[in-house]
Amino acid sequence: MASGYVRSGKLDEAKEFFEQMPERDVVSWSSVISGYVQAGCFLEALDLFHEMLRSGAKPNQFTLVSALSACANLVALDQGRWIHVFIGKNEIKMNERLLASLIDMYAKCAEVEFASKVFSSARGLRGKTAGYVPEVSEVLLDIDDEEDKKTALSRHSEKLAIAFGIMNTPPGATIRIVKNLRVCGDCHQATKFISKVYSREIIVRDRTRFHHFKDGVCSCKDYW
Amino acid sequence: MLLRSNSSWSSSSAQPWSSPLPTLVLLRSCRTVPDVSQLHSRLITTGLIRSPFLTSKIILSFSSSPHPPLARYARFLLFSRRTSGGAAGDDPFLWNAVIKSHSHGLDPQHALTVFCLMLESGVFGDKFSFSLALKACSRVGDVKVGKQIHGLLSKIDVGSDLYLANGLIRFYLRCWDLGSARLLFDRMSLMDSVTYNLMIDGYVKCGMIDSARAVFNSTPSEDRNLITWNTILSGHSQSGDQLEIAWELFREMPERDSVSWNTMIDGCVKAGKVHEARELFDTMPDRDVVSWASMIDGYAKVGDISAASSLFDEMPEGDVVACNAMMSGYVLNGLHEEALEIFHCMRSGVPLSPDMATLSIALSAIAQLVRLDEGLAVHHYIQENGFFVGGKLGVALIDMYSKCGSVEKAMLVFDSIKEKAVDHWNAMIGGLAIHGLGELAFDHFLEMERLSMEPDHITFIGVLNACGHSGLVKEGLIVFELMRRIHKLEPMLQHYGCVVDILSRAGYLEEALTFVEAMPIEPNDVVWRTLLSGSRIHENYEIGKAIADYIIQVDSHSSSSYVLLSNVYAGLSLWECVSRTRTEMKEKKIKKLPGCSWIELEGTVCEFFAHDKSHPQVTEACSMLGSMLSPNAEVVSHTY
Repeated sequence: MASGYVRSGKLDEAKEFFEQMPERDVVSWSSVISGYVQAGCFLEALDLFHEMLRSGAKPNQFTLVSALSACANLVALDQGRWIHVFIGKNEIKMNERLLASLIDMYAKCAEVEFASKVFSSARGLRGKTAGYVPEVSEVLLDIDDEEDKKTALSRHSEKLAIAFGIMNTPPGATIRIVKNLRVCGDCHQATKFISKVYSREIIVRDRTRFHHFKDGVCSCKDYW
Repeated sequence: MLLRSNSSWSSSSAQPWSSPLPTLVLLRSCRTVPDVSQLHSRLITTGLIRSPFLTSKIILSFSSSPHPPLARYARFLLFSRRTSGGAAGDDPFLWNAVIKSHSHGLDPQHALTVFCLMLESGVFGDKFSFSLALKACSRVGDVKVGKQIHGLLSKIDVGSDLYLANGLIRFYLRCWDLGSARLLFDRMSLMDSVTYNLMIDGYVKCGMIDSARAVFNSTPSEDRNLITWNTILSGHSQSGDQLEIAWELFREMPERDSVSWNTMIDGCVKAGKVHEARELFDTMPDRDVVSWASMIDGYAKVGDISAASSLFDEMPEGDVVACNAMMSGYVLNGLHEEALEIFHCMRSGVPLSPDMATLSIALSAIAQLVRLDEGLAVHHYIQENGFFVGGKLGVALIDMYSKCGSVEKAMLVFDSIKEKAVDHWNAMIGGLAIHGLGELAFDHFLEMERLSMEPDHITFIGVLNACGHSGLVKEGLIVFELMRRIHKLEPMLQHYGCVVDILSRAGYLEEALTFVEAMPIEPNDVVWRTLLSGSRIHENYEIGKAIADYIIQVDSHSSSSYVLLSNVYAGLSLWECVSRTRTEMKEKKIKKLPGCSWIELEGTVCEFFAHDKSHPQVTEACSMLGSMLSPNAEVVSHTY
């Protein structure tokens, strides 16, 4: 019932019903917290989240995503960090959505270094399945050192735009990029990787066509 | 109720019920089907339905009404008199009124039906009847029926009438039958200004300037009026290489009007002689919106957007045509934001409102900016204001959605168009192509074939591009042959380039090279680079090197060629050649075009250039990316 009220946008009724429940499970807690977040009541969402913790109920990934989203919107870095620690201490499994929310929170709170570290942890977590290796052969500039080539690749405009988009949009939002030249092989590979780790659909229009990146796969099927 | 709401009713209350006067008064209030029903009921109950005077009055009044129910009622009355054996008489006047309501209306085909009914009723018609029927034929494009009418006129020896003869010439010209028009022209013993003007105009519209001039020269001076001069002037001024002749005519003209001046301005603009156009503009006695729009368009086309903008700001009053010209100029010069700025001002409705052309230009700008949200808003505006999307506007919408990344919405627009023109198909196929949906694009092409929709050159470019992006080699080659053999379209350079791309991309480099060497058109640098790119992708460096060397020789200032060449050498491990290529680039000051990407967030466009740090958040973005790319990055879970 609480979930039903939330889905209908009747938050007051959901809260009232929720408060009258003799026993509250993680689903009902999560539903109401999520409803508050979706309605833009971020403070209420965090208050309820902490009430949940005090009650002894254990939040799941879904709950934590909502709480992190509230922190991001409130730029509540301290609380966001606290949740991050909570995740670690309670050994909550980090899924893609939770990871994306964590990165988003740090990015919104202007903690880019932490966001980068979290992102890197994603690479470490998925190194065997979603690995990315720079294609230095794509470097067209007069650079001899391999490390310098990698650095040059990381400064390609579409990568910068994508990073900017991820830093400034909510988790799950589609990112649309336009590029004036043909996407290089390295950027194409990197974008596939990012779409998988961040669970983002990334649409890139280059000089000749569109590329729809989703879950590590591109619509062009690597034939461009 | 019409009878109760009409304020004129009270003034007629003294009239007897059967008097026609109240009915005549009510005619002015008729607009809708209920109004017509009321009127008809009154005619029946009063017996006035049998009054020739009153019914004739109604037919004449209603047949030219802009309200469809009234026009239909006029036809009903006319046919009722015919079928009831009433006093329809042999006067074609009433028939002409009804025929005209069709020939000049939305359904000219019915004008011919009424014309035939008139003849069948024993009313032979007068010259105006035949003239109206010919107009209907020209609007429908029915040459056969028009020729039948011509034959009938010849039989009854009315063909010599000047008015009808001119009508026949006009009919043939509008049906693009220049030969028949000229044949008739040559046989006419009596001609007037209209005759000569029609013939000159026909030749001008067909691009036969010399023939037009010959008729002009043979036109007696007393038959040369302003229209004659303006017509031949437009012919020469639009011919590009005959602008000087146009100038001579312009100076010789006994009198000029705004059309004359605008024609010359437009001619100079199209010839790229914007300064001459400006001199005309400044000298023109009474400028109108066409003058301003032409001048703005001229400056924009030569890239002088500043002058165009200044002129636009100087306009004494706003006008949609001028706004469209300015917007179009902005789009042409890549200033899409500025184009949309004008659109937003117009959309406020004060003092102007966008028309169909405005919306098409705005959609074009939005497509270039990839502003899907804005495109959606414009589409909503189109729907709210009832604009017809079956024409160019539909094409613009399909193109916009495709280029903004929403091929699904493009397909929704496409599917909603009931009578699709080839341009709609082209836009859809092109959109599917750039999204890599080659199979779907190919299916759309097959659907065109099934519907007997004749494809054009653009269609084939779209389909071939789609095949190239999706690796449909067999299908692409089939399409190419269909174009040549079935549709008899001579391939242009772009088509050949597409086939080279299809083959090269798929690794058929030998076949691609053979194809290029067999091309009847000289391949340009784009074609060669396509082949070079394919050789690099598939590591066929033997072909690649030969092509690269050739490209450098013929196209020594293209950075793309040098970059590709460098890559080919690198693939062959010819590092000295790589170094030499880069050195040559530096010596010739050839720079690679820097990569630029942009993203729109909450209405703000954020632009990033490779290796540029001007954006305030680029450092943060670089930091994230740097960490992402580092193979030694620590797992965050160990941070705390």
